[in-house]
This record gives sequence, C-alpha cells and structure tokens, in this order.
Amino acid sequence: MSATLTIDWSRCKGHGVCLAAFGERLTPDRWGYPQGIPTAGASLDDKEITAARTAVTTCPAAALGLRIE
Amino acid sequence: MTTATTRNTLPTDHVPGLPGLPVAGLPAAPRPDILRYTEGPLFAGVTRDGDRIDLARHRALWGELPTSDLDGLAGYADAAGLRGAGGAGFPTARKLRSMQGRRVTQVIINGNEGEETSAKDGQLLRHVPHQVLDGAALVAHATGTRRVVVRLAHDRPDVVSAVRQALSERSDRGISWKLSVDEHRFVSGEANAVIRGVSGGDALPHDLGRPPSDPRPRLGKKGSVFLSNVETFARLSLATRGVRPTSALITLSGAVASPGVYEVPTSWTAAQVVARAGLLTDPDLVITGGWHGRWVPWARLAACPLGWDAFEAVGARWGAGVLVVLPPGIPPRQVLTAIANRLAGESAGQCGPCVLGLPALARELARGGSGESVATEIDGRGLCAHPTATVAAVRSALTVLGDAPSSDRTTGRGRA
Repeated sequence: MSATLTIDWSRCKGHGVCLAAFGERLTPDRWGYPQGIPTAGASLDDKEITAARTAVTTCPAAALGLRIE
Repeated sequence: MTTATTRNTLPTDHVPGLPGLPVAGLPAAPRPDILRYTEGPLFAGVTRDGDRIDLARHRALWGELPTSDLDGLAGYADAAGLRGAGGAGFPTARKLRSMQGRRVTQVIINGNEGEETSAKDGQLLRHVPHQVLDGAALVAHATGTRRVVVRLAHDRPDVVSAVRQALSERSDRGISWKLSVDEHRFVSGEANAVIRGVSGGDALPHDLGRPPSDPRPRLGKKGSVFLSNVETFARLSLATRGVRPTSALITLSGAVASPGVYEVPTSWTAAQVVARAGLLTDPDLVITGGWHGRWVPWARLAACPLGWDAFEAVGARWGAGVLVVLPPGIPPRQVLTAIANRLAGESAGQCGPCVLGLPALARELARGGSGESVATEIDGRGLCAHPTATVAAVRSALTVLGDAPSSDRTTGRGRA
C-alpha cells in the first residue's frame, strides 16, 4: 500500500517514541529527531503500516500523521 | 533612458560591507534601498529616486485598470513568462489557473522583503505603488475576492507611508484594501507565515501538511489565499496591458560604488549591470539570489544574461534578483560563516533540526570544516524552506571555494 507519514516539525520534540514503535524505518539523528520518514507515496507492507500507525497514535507531541492511498 | 542616481563620489579605497551582515571587522552595510537606474517599463515615469507616481499620473501613463477573467490573466502571465519574483520563481500562470473554481478569500501582496540584500519591492511600492496595486486588483476581480491585503515589514516606514498614501487615492469598486504591517523578521516573508500573520496569528511558518517546497496557493480554513510578491503583481499588471517583459530588476550590493536597485534590459549581462554600478575592483565571487542563493565565480557569471534560465545555466540563482559582490580582501570562508550564523539566528525556533542544526552547521564552518554531516541531517526537514535553503547555499559556497566534501552528497537527500 502507498502510505505517507507526515510530520509537523513544530510539534516534534524528539521524544523518540516513534523510533521505538517504527524502528523498521525510523532512525534517530544526532539530536534524537526521527530520520527516514517515509514521505509521499512510500510503499509500506501491512506490518509497517501497523507500526507507523502505532507511532502516530503514541507520539506524545501529536506530531505525526498517516495518509494511506 | 533615465538615470535615477547621483554620481558615485565614493573614494576607490572605500570598501563597502555586506547588507545587514558585519564580517571580518567590516561593519554591515545598510539595505541598498535606493533606486539607481531604470531602463524599462517597471519604473516608467520615474526620473529621480523619490518620485512617486500618484494615481492620476499612473492612469495617464497606463490607462484604466484592464478587465480580464482568471483564464485571461493566466494567458498574459504565460505570454510574459512571469515567475514569482519573491525568490521561489513559481510560474505565475500556473498559480492563477490553480485558483480556478476555488473560493478565494483574500489576495495578499507580500512586501515583507525580509532580507537586507533585496530592496526592489520597497522601491516599487515607493515609486510605482499603483502598478503593484493594479496587479492585485486584477487578481481580486478575476477571482471574485473583495479583500486585498498589502503586507509590509515595519522596518521601512517610508514604504508603509507610501502605500498608505497610494491606498488613500484608490477607489476600486468591489475591493476592500487593507494594510498589514509586521514586525520585521526574516522568515516572516515566508508565504504561509505571511498568511498566518495577516490572519492575526504569529507570523511564523506553520504546518500545511505538505512540503514547504510546494508553492501551490495556500488554503486557509475558509478558502484559498492568493499570495504573491510585490514585483510579480506589478509585472502582471504590465503583462495584462500588453507590455513585454523587457527588463530585469536587480538589487546590487557589496563591493560596488553605487549599491542599489537597477532596472535594466534583460539583454544586459551581469557584467554590464555591475559596471553600471561602478566596479571597485575585479570581483572573484558573487552571491546570487541572496543568502539562501548560490555562490558563483565572477568569471562564470560576468557574461551571463539576466534571468532565471540564464542564471541557472551557470549554476547561479536568480531568486529575487539579488547580486552581492563579495568585497575584496575579506576571506570568503569568513563571509560564509557569518552568513551561516546569520541564517541560524533567523530560525523561527519551531523545528528541532533547524533550531539545533543550523547553529551546529555554523560552528562546523567556523572550525573550517564542511559541516556536511550536519547538513545531511538538516536537508529536507522543517516546516518551511529555511533550513533546506540554507544547506543548499552553504554547499554551493563550499563547491565554489573548493572545500566541498568528497563524499557523495546525494546519499543524504530525501530524508524527512
């Protein structure tokens, strides 16, 4: 499925919760902010979509969103 | 041909600084906020710096406001090859066409002109405000919008009063003009920051749910907003009147005798403009497109004609028509560090990779490094284009200075 994980950078405070939830794709940069966010139209399998959804729902800053097409 | 200038009387040993940027013991120069030369339609009728074309004079020169629907306007913009003159260069015709069938709540003239290397927008508003206002009125009528906002920074009170006076002369049917003055701040000129500022919020970039590089018209909660740069509106007004885009508008600063705004034929080369401003010495390097732009060796730019495509072909960036000639005798690395520091200080302070990344990048540069490992962690991240544009500018400088990292840069791209 084609999925886009969106991030509102003004909300993200680098809590790192998404890194634990979606470690398959996301890695921390030197400050602890997520890197490797699947942008526009990335293709994710079911397991990855579940992980991405967990990242979105558990983000303490509500900085993430998931769009599935 | 008119020369809107006093002759240069500067001694040749005078080394002008960079606008708003102290570097290597050289004090910052002021914004080059003076109209030096005009040979083209934008400043038609202006013979001296300070001449203001009032509404009566404007109508005598250009006639009444033409009428055109959205499609017609887009056609004129297309024929004139109009691109957004605020720096991003998005084709104006496409922007106009994307408004088709949308409810447009307001038209915003973005006159923020946040960077001191640019002065053209303020100069247009000072001298030919009605050409700018006509452009916005055309879009307002074509989109059925009543509300037109002129957004200005408060640091140039004479621009504010020129616009206030121009607005008091207008009596456009069906248009309600509004003047909105912002606390001057670099990123406040960023399009979605302007929209939020005009709507009464903090003039800071905010989340639009799409990349900041996407220049499509901004959608407010209640409808679309048509926002464009001052020069773009003036050019749209001229294009709709059938005037061919024969001139380029440039703000020239740095090591020239007469820094300022120049309207010159597009057939001129960069060397001709700089010669017109009085070369103090043969430059080595020029920064094109402002602090977010591209560094280019003068040897590569000198014979280049003016405009987006020609500049891009030599690795330069047209942007908002900014040329900064680096002063001789100032180590370019120090200029680069000063620019990186300046841009780090201009972060709106909202997004981590920008807040933390840009100062880290500046520190690396000050130490003599390339900062590339930090740069890859800034590139493509953040709410607005500021961090990514800063990285691009730094990389172009390092390439020109022969200090570019040897590693493959493309590996760091595409991160979010």
